[in-house]
Order: sequence, then C-alpha cells, then structure tokens
Amino acid sequence: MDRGQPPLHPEQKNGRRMEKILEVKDLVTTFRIAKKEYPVLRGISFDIHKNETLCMVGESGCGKSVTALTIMDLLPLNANVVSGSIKLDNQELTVFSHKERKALCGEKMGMIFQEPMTALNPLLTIGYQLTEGLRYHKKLDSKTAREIALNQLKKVGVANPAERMKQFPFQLSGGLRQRIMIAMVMSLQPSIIIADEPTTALDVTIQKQVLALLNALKKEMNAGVLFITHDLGVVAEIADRVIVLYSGTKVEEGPVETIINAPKHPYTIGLMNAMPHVDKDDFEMKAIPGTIPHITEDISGCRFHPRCAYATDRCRKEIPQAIEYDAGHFVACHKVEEERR
Amino acid sequence: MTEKPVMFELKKLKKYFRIKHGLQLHALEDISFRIFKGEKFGVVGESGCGKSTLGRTILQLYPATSGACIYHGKTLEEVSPKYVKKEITQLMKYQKRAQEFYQKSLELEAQASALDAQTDASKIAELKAKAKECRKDASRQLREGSRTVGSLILSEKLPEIARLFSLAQKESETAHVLLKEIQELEAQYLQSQVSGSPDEQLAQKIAECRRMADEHIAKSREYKEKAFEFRGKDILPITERCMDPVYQAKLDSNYETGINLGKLTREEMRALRRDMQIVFQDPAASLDPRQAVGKAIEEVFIINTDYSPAVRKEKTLTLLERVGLKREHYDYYPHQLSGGQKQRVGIARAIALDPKFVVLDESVSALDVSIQAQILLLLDALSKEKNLTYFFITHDLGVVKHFCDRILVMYLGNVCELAPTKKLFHKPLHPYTTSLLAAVPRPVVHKKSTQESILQGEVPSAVAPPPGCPFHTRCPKRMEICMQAKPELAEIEPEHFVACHLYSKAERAPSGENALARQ
Repeated sequence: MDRGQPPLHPEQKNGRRMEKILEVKDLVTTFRIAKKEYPVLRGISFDIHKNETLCMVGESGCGKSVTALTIMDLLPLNANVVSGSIKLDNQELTVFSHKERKALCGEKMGMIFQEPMTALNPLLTIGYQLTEGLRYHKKLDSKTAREIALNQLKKVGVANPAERMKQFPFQLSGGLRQRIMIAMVMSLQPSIIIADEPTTALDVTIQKQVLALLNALKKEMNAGVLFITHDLGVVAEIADRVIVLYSGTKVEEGPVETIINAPKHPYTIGLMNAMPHVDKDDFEMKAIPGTIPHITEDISGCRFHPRCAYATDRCRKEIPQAIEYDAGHFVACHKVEEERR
Repeated sequence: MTEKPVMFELKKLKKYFRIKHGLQLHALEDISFRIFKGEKFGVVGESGCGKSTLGRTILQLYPATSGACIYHGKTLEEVSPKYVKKEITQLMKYQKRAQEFYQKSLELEAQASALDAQTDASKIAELKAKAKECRKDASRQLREGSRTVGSLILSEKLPEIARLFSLAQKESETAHVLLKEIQELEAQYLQSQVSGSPDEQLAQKIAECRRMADEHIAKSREYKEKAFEFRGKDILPITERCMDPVYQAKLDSNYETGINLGKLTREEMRALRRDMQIVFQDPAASLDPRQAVGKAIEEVFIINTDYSPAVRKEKTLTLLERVGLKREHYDYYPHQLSGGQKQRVGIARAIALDPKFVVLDESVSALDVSIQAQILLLLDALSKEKNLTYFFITHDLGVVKHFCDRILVMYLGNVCELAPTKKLFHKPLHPYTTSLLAAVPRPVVHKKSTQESILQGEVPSAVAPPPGCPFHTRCPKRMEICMQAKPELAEIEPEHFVACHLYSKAERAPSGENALARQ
C-alpha cells in the first residue's frame, strides 16, 4: 500500500500547509452511572487533515469508540458532552442541536462500524440501505440513487452488483458486508470517515483487501480518516499519524514511524511488547500487569501508574502534561519529561 | 526419529452437516494426523475452514460422519469400553465374511473367464466389477477386525485368540470397577483431609485397590501378549494378499491401542470427558450471568465427582488462586469481572478435573493484547505444571507462533500443511500458508507496495467445494492438475506435511498414509 511520504510535521506537507478537516479540542464526555457522572474522555484533542489517516489505538474501555460516537453525536442517553469543541471544516459542531447536526454532518461524516451485520438492517435489502443516504441527504430520486449506488458497489470491488442490490445482509459474507458498509459511506462523498475497528471481525486475508480499499478510496476522495483499532499491525499498515489512548486520556501522539519504531510512553512500549510478532523468533511476550481501570475507578495522578513499572511518587500525585518530544511527537509521561530535562 | 507418545490419533475424520434441500456442508474432509502428548498443537485458518468443528469433533461434541478419533490418554485396559467386548465376539464373523466375499469374487471371476471375450464383453466387465466390489468388501471386513486384533484376524487360531482377548477384557473390566471404587474412596479421603484428620486407613485401602487394579491390568496385557504370539503364524489364505508381510503390517498398524471415542456409549464418554475440556472464545457467553463464578467452578465438581461441599469449596478456592484470581472472587458475578478475569474463570473450570487434553477455541481472541499476553503466559505455565496437551484454535498467526509447538493449517475443511512452528514460519510450503502469512498485519512501517501479495477472492462455499484442490480458486500458483485431482497430504521434509501438487512431482516415496504412520 503506497502511503506516500508521511508528513514529518503534521502541519506541513510538500512544503505547503495542510488543510485541517476535523479539529477536536479538549473533549470531555461523562457517563452517568447510578446518578453519578464519571468522565470517560478526559480532554482529548487531535486534528485530522485532508488525505490523512489518523489511527486511534488503545485497549477496550480506553474511550476510542466514545470519541467516535461523540464526534458523530451518536452517544447513548446517559452520556453527556461536558466541554470541548469539535470543528468540521472550521465550523463548530457542539453548538448545534442533535437534529441540526444530523442534517449538517450526515453527508460530510461517514462512519463504518466494527460488526457490519449489526450495522445493517436485516429486514431491508442492500439496495434500499445503500440508496437511503442518497435519497435522504442528497434528495435524489430513487433511480439516480440506484445508479450511483451500483457504481459505488463496483468501485468497492463487489462482483455482480445488480444481484447484490436485491439481496439481504444475511446472504453475504463478512468481507462483502463490510464492503457494502464502505460503499454506503463513500456514496455520499464525505470529507471525513470514521472507521471503528472495521476489520476486527474479518479474516486476515479479507482484512488486507478491505484496508487496501479504504486507503485507495481515501486518496481518491481526499478525505480524512479516523481509524480506530487495537491492532498495532493494522496501524503500521494504514496510519499516517497515531494517537494512543489510555483510560480516556491521550498518552502519546506522533507520526506512525515514531510510534511503531520508537515509542516513548511506557504504555505504548508495553503494547508493543505484548503483541506477538510474526517475524521475530526470539520474541518474548511480555504482558502489562493488571487491567485497564473501570471508569468509576478514581485514580490520582497518571491514570496508568498502577500498571506502570516506572511509577514514582510524582506519577501517583500529579497528572502528566503532554510535552512535544520531537516535532509532532507528543508524550504525556513524567518519566519521559524528566529524561528530557 | 524418536517415537513421541501420542495423545490423539485422527484417522480420515469426516464431518458433514446436513442442511436443507438434502445438501451437505463439508466441514471436515479426511483429516488424519496425530497430536503428541504434552505438545501445544495449533490450528490456524480463516473463519469457516473447519477449525472449530475439528476441535469439537475430537471432543465428540459433534459425532463424526466417518473416520475414527482415537484417544491415547488412557489405555483400553483402564477404561474397558463395552464396544471392545462386542468387537471380540464379532471377530469370527469378520473372518468368515471375508472368506465368503473372497470366494464369491473368485466365483464371479471364474464365471467371467468362462464367457466368450468377444460376444459377452459387457457382461464380463460387469462380473469383473462385481468381483472387485466383493474383494473390497472382503478387505473391509478384515480391516474392521484388525482394529481389535491387528493381523491376527488372518490367523487360523482365531477362536483361541478371541478367547484370550475376552479373558483380557474380563480382567480389564475388573480393573475398571476397582478404578471407579478408588475415585469414590479418594473423595472420602479428601473429605477427611479437609476436616483436619486424614484417614490413614482409607489411604491404605486406596493403595490396596490401586495395587489390585494394576495387577488386573497387567494380567489383561499378559493375555493380549499371549494372543499376539500367534502373529505371523498359521495364516489362513483368506485373500490373495494375506501372505504378503506388507499387508500384514498394514493390518497391524490398524490395531487400536487407544480408545475409539466414536464407539463409546454415552456414559463411557461422559466419564472420559474429565480428561478433555474446552475453553471457549467468549468468556462472557460461557458463564451464567446469574451464577457467582465460584459456584460456576464448583458445578464442575458437583457434576463429575463425589466430593463433599467442603472439599469442593476448598478445591475451587485453590483453583481461583492458581489462575491468578483472588479467593474473594468466589462470590463475584461475571459482570463484576473484566474480560481477562472471566477468561481466567473459564480456564479454572476447564482445568478443575485435571484434564489431559484441552481445546482452546479462540480463547484469547476476544481479549486486548496486554491481557492476551497475560492469559497466554498463564496457559503456558499450566501446561508445564500439569503436563497438559493443548489444541489451540486461532486465526492469529502471531499468537500461534509464540505459543505452539506444531501448527496445522486448514482451508475449507482440508489440511493444507502441518509442520513444527519454526519450519512453518521459515519455510512455508503451501501457497495458502504463504498468502496467510503475507496477510498478517505487522507492526513494521514499510513503504513499499504490498498490493501484489493480497490474496484475492473469498473462501468458497463448503456446501459445494470446488473439485480438485480446494484452494485452486484463489491460488496464485495454480496448475492444470489442481483443478482435477485433490492433492494428498505427504511428508515433504521430515515432520513437514503438505497437501499440494507443487511438491508431488518431486520424488514422493511415502504417500499419505504411510508417511503418517512414520510421523
């Protein structure tokens, strides 16, 4: 997969300023559990530029999906966006009501879910579901919508699309269903695509096909992609930049080479060490002790300190602030900061 | 090559699922291989390749359509299954039928040769085909018999042999009863231990029973050895092949020293289930949300043992600690535990009865990498401590590489490749293995295009599998022959088995079955 030269500095590409398509700043989302509010996102900030794939990595429960749902305004009823701003094409979204956002963003933002079977309606044909967005957002008549949908299906590599349009989701394989989901999102020509673990439920050979497809479409449409995954292998394959989340906080951010080859945060390093490497023979798997804290758990200082081998008193008391380790490489860790001094 | 002790032996295992309209889903096709004792045996393949079906068919959770699944974790003498007794009484019948079929085939051939080759060509062909069929029937009968007595089925002294075997069977039945008694006594002994005063008398009684059981087992073996003294002597010329030592050796290799799980009765299989356990993929789905995890583990003892409540609880608490949980977790409900902790409970349940063989069906796939590593390390420690044999089903090649000793690659219900881990990763031979390895996302940032290594298409339907090699529809190295003939599993290099026509052109002295016998 040709990804082109990833930007050394996220703001610069080929000497000119890259256009930001999505700006997220200090996002705080809380969940209400038993009449108490618990923060799930503790101030997440990131930008996505045009024709860029930003990967969001972390274990389950770290807030990856909640970030996506907050941006899409699809949060469950007990969730509450307390503060922060989400700007799409320099337009602030948080000021709008749910209905206004739906009309505004439906077209411009598309989301691909992990489980295509649950994301598709089992009672409706593929054709109906594919054209729904076109009819609703673009106000096209069903004939034109059908034609666009057919073309889109061809583009995502579905053989005999006319047949497929008449079928129901259960008649298709997992890989095919995910292609349908991608076609559905792409047919609206969104400027930002949010993919929440789109390949986790697929086999490796099919995963590879889907990743290649996503990458090709992203380039063609010059869209920004927020790709959520827990698989560092997939990250290396598809990302331009990476952010690592842990328990609702961003612990590290940087270009993909840096995060994969020279991670600095102990959590990112731990993740790399825990992942069994296919090519290495003398690899010794090392687990990160303990588990990710539940959102109701109150942890002082760095959220990672109970599992961190380098935890000091300072880590237990003080929340680490992100420092720019290198151009575009941010780390939020006391140890890293102290070493830099 | 030193002979490693075998745990499981699969012989041409087939599993078809009947679906609507009289169609069949070919989930497993002629799977033959061995699992050695104490090894971590990995199975990889895409979803729908039959890896889970294989695991469950081995455990007899699905009855096999045909083929045999032979268990060597316990000896025939210890278990003394009923089918052996039945088979012994059938021995004479097998021999007689084989003789009859062979005679019939000779008669048919004689009839055929009496006819005029010019005028009755079609009739001759028909008779010859019938004769051939009869011969096949004859050898089928002999093969059935050889499962119980090996090449002795050819002996003239078969009645005497059958007598010796049934004597052996009687001895092992007695031993079996004693072994059952020991189990009960042990439960009582544990109870006395927990209540603080170990009953020494019971301990003595157990030792006594064990000694007696061992004696009976030894006697049973003696009878069998005596029977085997007839091997190669007084052979009846039942068919023309009988005098051939190669054929005799083949019949001997059919002799089942293990337990044919497919032939056991329900109760017998149930008793053996203690030896073979399974850990499922989704830890949440395999636990009852309304049952405390301690109770869930204890249930295993309630169903399978006679332990008193105090013993059960004590055992459960020790187990919880062994799998890295705390004693307090006894009263927790599944929703109070994280995914990794739930999986630990699943593992505790599986190892509760000290099994010998554990099927791990995607047991770490639903976990995060850091937790996955924890669970893998736990499983590794347990296997060493309790000398467990693992059958590790996964789609994650990274995990098998660092966890398993040998790996089986499956595609559409067929075995593609079977090799020790190192060989498979350093020199994958089957094109499917190569593409599978290429498709694994690696945490390495490489800029060059990998478009060409993407395997195109999807797995074909198992209801109508493609003719010839099942992989030919997607294979980048497809040849003419691949569309017509199915490649056999052959040992291309020592311990490295591949089913692919690419390698069949090379000198292939040992074909499938023989190669397996040498495995």
